[in-house]
Amino acid sequence: MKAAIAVHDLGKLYRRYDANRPRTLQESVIKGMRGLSSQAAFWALRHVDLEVLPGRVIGVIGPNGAGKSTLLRLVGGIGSPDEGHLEVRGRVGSLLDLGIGFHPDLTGRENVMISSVISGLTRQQVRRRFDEIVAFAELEEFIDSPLRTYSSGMQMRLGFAVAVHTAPDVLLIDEVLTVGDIAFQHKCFEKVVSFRDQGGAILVVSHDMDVLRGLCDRILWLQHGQTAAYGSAQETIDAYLRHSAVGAD
Amino acid sequence: MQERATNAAVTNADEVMTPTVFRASVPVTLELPLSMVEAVAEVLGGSYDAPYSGAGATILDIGAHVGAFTLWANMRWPGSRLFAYEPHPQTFASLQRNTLQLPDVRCVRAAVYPSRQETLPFYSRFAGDGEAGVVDVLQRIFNSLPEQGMFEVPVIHPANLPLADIVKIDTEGAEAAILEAMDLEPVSLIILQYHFDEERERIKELLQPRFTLEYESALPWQPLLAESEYRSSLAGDHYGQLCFVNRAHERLRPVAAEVWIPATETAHAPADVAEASNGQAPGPYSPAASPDRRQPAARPIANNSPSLVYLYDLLAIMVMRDMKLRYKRSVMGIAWSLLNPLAQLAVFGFVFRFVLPLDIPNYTAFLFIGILAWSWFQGSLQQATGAIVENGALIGYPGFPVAVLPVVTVTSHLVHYLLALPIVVVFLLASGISFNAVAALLPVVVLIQFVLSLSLAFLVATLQVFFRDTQYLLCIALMLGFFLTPIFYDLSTVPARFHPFYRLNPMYILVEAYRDILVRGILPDVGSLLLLGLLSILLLGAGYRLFSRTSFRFVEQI
Repeated sequence: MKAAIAVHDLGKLYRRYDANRPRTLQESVIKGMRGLSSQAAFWALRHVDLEVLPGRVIGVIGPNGAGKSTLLRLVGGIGSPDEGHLEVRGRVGSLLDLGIGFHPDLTGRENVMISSVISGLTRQQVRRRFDEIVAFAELEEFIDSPLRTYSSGMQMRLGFAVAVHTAPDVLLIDEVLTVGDIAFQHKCFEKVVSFRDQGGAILVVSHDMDVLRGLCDRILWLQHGQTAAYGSAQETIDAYLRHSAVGAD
Repeated sequence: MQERATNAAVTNADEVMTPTVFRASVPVTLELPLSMVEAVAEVLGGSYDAPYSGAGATILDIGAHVGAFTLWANMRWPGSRLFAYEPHPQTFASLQRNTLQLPDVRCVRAAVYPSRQETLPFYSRFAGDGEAGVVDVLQRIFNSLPEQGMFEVPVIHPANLPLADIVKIDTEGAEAAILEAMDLEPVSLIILQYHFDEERERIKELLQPRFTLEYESALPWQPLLAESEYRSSLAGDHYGQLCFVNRAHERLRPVAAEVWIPATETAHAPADVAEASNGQAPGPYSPAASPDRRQPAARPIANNSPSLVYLYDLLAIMVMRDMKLRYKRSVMGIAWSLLNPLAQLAVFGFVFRFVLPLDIPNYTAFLFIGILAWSWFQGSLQQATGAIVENGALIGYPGFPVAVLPVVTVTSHLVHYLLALPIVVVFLLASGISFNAVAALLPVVVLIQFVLSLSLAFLVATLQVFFRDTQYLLCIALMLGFFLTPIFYDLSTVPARFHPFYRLNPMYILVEAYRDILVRGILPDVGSLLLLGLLSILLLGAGYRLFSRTSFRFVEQI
């Protein structure tokens, strides 16, 4: 067994800085380098263990500020852990920021090419998948118009289409399975399922418990940056919902 | 089995009950191709047995063929759920008919293989033979795989298999690949056929951290090689069986040596089996022997770094984006990139020809070369201050190689520089200057300037993240640099006592080299150029090091 994502005792420390912290050389010199170090620190994530095998979907739930997005970002290689061990095998794709590299003045075609390459495909791979991406976004007629003429829904669809066609080994999803209308949402869900069935490993953050129930093998419940529970989707979600209903924190 | 259950029910309460495994003799009726009779007889004779008992397990039969192991395992580990995987259509039909009466058997018509494809080409020599397999895998066994035996079969990724207690695999060479991709954590027992020595060692290495080798056998390929279809490279290689037991297993009980009797003498049941069970009864393993779960077994670190082809494509697309955006909605488009240096040329040309005349031959070409080289240098550095802080989205994108951003900046300005070069040529020709062989050195000088600019770009891009006034300091430095580099004047007009300082200025060396090559048609100061090239490379190393060492803090700082 080779985990696509292996997280052991992971911790991320966020530092709070003085509001008057120097941001320029000039101020640093005047203040004699005082205030450069952080004032206070808190653990956004601590003692988190997780393994995601290829072909598995792990959901992450918890209240706002529980560390869900921090976990996804660390797995995505954004920032580095302050504690513990993190190993990710293969290329990471993300549905965190849709439409990476998009620019309103460029055409849909140019944006698809740029965004796909930024997401990790070579130009030849993009050319091979181009028609598929555009067809998935249902934007064949508009693909040579500048992006600024698109509605926000169309832009999101194009961004999603690019993201799901970059064929990563590990997919990170943060609350974006609700793009577009019901039919498109269904298509996105199907696409994520087929990605899983082809051996992709998925880490998904969502507040939509129905989506998580339908998609996840296991759920990690975070609370104040620490693991509150980790288990089957049904059990963990039930426990979380009971906890939330009581209003306990 | 039925008899044992009845006996147990009437036993006195104080009698100690021990798990007992009988060698049964049960007539079995199976539908199968005649060529497979011997192989099936071996399986039904217990060739896949292991000295562990249990009930209610989940068992995977990967490469189930007509279901001999499934049927046998159904009795061996009673009350188990069985999943049988077989992709060959006719064989699968037999498998279904052979297991029809068993409610706990689920047959799946699919090949198990770690592929992202939904179907894969499959090859079978004869209908329902035992050496059918995924084409990629079979190529190691057969010399050629004729088209007529090939067809597409559905594929299941090993990671999507149900969590199982017992796993049996015989897939003609894909065993190691399947084990590597599946979840072995809950698995207690693995019994498999391997097909090459190399695969055997690969499997042993993979399973060694958690599993103990229960027994193994090795049979030579040599006798089979009389058939010309087999690859001659198989000579000296072996196939055989491996059986592993999880050191931390809980679902199965070891069967004491005295009650466990190997079923029948078969080619696949090696002498090792008896030895393993007689030598010492496999007792419960101490928890200390199981590897600490927090310390994952040493694995090769996956190589996540992007390929050179990808980096080149990324650079190209980012430079193109940069160029397109710069002039996208302007009428003159790319011509703007030439207008700025031309305007400078006009102003300086006017001032130093007519207002404060400088006596420099071919002044237009002389001046324009200086302006272009300086514009490239200055533009690169100025834009590099924003390379990180203005690209927050890219910095925060998983897997994006941040170090490409300063390269994009310097490359974009290089493109502008190269676009303006034809104008230089026009000026030179208009002045009646013809090129000679030293012009071939131009790419070398351009390369040195590229490396120098890039090393400084890494530096200012990093500094700007932490100190936002870097760009203003840089502005001042560049303005001073412009006047202290002989762009619009010649070193000969500078008092000699300042010359040593000028020679320390890298842009002076570069600008002079361009002029030597293009205007004067003489060999530039090769010594200084080489030294500058060398220093630039060292500086690039240092700049890149600073950049990459601090890059993990970029996200938090912008």
